[in-house]
Amino acid sequence: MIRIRSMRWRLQFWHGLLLATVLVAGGLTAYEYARAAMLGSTDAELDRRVGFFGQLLRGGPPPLRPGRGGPAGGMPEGPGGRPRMAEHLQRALQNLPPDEEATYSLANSEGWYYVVWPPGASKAICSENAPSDVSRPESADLRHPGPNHRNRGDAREAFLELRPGGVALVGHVMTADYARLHRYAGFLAAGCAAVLALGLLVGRWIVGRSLRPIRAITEAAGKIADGALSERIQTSDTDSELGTLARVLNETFARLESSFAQQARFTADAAHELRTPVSILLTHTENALSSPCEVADHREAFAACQRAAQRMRNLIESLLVLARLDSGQDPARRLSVDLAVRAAESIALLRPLAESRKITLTLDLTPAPCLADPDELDRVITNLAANAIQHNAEGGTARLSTFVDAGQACLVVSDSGPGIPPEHLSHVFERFYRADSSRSRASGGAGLGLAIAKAIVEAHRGSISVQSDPGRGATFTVRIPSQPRTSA
Amino acid sequence: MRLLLVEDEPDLAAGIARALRHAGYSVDLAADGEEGLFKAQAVDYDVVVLDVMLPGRDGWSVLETLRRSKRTPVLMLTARDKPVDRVRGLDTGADDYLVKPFDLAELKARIRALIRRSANQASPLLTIGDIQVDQASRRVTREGASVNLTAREYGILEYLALHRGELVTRSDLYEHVLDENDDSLSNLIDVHVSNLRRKLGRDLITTRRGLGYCIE
Repeated sequence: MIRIRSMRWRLQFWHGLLLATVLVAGGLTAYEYARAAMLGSTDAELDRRVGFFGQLLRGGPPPLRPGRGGPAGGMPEGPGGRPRMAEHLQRALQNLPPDEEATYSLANSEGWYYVVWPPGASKAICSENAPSDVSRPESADLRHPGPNHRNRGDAREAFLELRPGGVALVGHVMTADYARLHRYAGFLAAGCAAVLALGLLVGRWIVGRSLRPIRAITEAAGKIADGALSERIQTSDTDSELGTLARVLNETFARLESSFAQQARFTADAAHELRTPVSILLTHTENALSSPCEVADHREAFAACQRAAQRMRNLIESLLVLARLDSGQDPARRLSVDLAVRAAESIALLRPLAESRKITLTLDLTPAPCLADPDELDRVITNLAANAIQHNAEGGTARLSTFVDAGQACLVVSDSGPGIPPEHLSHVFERFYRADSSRSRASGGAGLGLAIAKAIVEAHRGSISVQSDPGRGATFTVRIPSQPRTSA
Repeated sequence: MRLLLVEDEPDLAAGIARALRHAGYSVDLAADGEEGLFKAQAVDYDVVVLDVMLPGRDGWSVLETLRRSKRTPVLMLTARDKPVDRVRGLDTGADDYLVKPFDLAELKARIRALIRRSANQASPLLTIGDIQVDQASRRVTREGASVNLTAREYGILEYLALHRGELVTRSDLYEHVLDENDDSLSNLIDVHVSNLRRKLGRDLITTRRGLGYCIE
């Protein structure tokens, strides 16, 4: 759970960080652009205005005294030139065009002002709204012939040299523009914050949505860990990677469950098989202990106990063989053996059993070499042959043959008994399965013989099969590869 | 009391039968379902102990068929201990259910309980006047003093006491007190009854001439 949270928050964190970075960069760019645009347009306006002054003041000598002209195109010169220039300026400024006049009036709140320093004059000529502390630009700042700019407090100023020695300056108090810019910045910031918040919310939703299968997986896995093996991950989302993971996990859980169920059934069956011999032991020992019986009775009880114990020993042995085969700890003892020889030896041991049941054994053994563990092979042959003898009709025949077919050593065991009903045929190799649902004493075993035979044959990469027509006996066929590995 | 034990494991059947005989019951044996059903239908047993897993006809089938004609108490004996099996057994008409491996003492106690229940008797102690029959310990006392009875004598007394007030015929007694191995001489019951009268008093058991016996 903590892991999911951390993953979720990590995704959210990086998503938020990325979004914030993009928004801040975008916001700053937009702000800078707006600021530059504002300054640019202010400067252009200042240039226009100061240029106007330049034109106005440069635009030809005012005809103060007709007939006495100065040099053409220039300012009035001579010893009295400078005072005259100042007067000319004074006059020109008093006769500004009306819209210019209005711009520089006190009534206008846009904050435009001008200051003109006439050549030689000590006193500057100012517009009414000009601040008193505007200083005359240093001559070093007047290097450019065009308008120069400077910032003075909140004001932006453009100035221009008026030859000879005069300076015209137009200023604009930017307070209102800056306020507008700040307001714009505020809107920009608010917009970015809103987009960020929306982005985080949407991101949270998306992350939550895509991580939902993980929660389902965690819950299901937790329940399974608590023992609810039939629990499965509930997810309708089957297209995403997590959906695929959930499907794979569900398949794994299903296989685990079935293997657990199989294991549990096997254990239950094994315990079940032990009940009868243990009952016999308990009954006879209780009897013997509770009564001072005669020696003959005791002997009988002991014999019964011994039979029960033998039965348990056989069962335990079978279980151990199966457990060993199941665990796959196959020592892989593979010797070159002849199925025919093994069959002949195993059958020799079963002859007394066959005779006691009056079964005729027919052998048709031709050499069938294969690579196998001879002991395990013996177990297979013995199990099949003993079945053929025990499930046979009294006086019947059991037939054993070995031969080579298609590169495989084959063993065929058939009997003339009642056969196996079709509904049981597919189950005969299951552990503890008996065709007769009630335990049949005549058949003896616990229903493990064929399961063991199958496990052994399959460990040898062989196959075992059965066919039976009811009333006409059953035929078991074992095939074991002659070579350990056919060319793969 | 006469019991039928249907069990296919010869060793187990022999052990249980010996224990039950030792406890004073007459025990008949059947090794498979068909034989068990035949015997259970032919004789009025006091209790049938029936194994579920039998070759041929299994315990369920025996019980089902038996229930069509008899109300004999049946105790199922089985290696299956899943609740669904118990429910099935009880629903099919079994009166009790015991899972292998079991304690002989428990089996005997359950058989006693079944016999008591079928005789509408709640307590294992039967009192007839100054005589007390303790079914649990199979002891009989008269005025507090212990009375020595043979197993057959006890069986007859117990059967008559459980059917107190009813007429019990000789053949009833033959069926319930003796088993198939007993040498059933016709006057065997009379001998046991007269022994009982000698030990417990003449008036305890009344004879209905030509019909049978009764404890009033």
